[in-house]
Amino acid sequence: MDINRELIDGCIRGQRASQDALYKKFSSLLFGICLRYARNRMEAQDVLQEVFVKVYNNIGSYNNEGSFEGWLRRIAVNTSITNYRKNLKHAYQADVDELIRTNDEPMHFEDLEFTAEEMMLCIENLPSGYKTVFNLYVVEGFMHKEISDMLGIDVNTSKSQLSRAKTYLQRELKNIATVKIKEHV
Amino acid sequence: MSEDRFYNQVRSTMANYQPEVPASAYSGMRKKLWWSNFTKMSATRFNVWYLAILVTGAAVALNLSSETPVNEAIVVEQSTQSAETAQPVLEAANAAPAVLLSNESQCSTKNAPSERNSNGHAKQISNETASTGQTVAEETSVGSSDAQQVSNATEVNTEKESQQPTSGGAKRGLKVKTYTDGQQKK
Repeated sequence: MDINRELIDGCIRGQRASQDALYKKFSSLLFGICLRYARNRMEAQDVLQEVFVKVYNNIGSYNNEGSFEGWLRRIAVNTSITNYRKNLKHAYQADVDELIRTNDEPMHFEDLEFTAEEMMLCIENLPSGYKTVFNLYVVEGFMHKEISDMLGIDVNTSKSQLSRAKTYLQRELKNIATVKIKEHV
Repeated sequence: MSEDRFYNQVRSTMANYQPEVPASAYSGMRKKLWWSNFTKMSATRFNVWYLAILVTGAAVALNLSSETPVNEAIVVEQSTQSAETAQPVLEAANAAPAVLLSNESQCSTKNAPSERNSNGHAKQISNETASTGQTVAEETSVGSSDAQQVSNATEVNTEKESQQPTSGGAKRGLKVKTYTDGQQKK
């Protein structure tokens, strides 16, 4: 916490060394958040850069209430949502047909272990709208009402998109699990 | 598998997901940060607002410096035009008395038409002198005193030089008197 405080004070004074240290320490974590919301890695890089610019410019407004990491996470999520809303016109594209075909028998995932990379691969392949709702609800822990306010959509839309995202994700994970089982055997 | 268990599994897996950040992201972030600072109003560091003030100041200074010589040039040009307008008149006025003085003894009926022509030409020019002097005085709004000086100079020069002989091309003529502002032809 003291290290964070020193970094924060350095960043408030505009010291480049402190800014670089802060970047080194938190860039991976924030890049992971950006990747979950972005359509590809390039877009995630752009969002990450915007996140750090916002952090450096507004770090003086951080009052020690709550964890600094949580504050950074919140900025990353908000910036990602802003980016998502900016690209909203292109967000929902041909995603319904893909999800109608998910009538397979449900798989017992509790017996399977998935790495973060595998999980991330499946999340990345989600349609943009589903991915955003899924991340906000499952990973960030927001409620449907909050999500509907943040994204400017109806609560029921949020619920239906979460359901579809879950189905889509389970299907993708099942495919990965099938491949893993075959490799194991 | 219940919905919540699946969500918990995803949450726990993704909570500490920290992928490697590409090196190019840092340089891009630095550029964006520099641009952000450059476009932000700040009294302590050079930014786009200072640049805008500098450019505006330079433009105004350039504009002012380019306007001043133009005004001066206009005044000078007007004075020059007045003087130039008066110059041919003076020359013409010189020619006529010169003929009168130098060729008075050689005057004959044979040269009468040319005398009349010269006389007529001189009269016409003298009228032009009067009207031109008046016009210059009217047109010069800023330097009305200059115009008056030009007009007076025309009158004085005409009166002086009308008595001086010249060897100009005019053959002979009658005595010429020019009229300027305020003078009535007697």
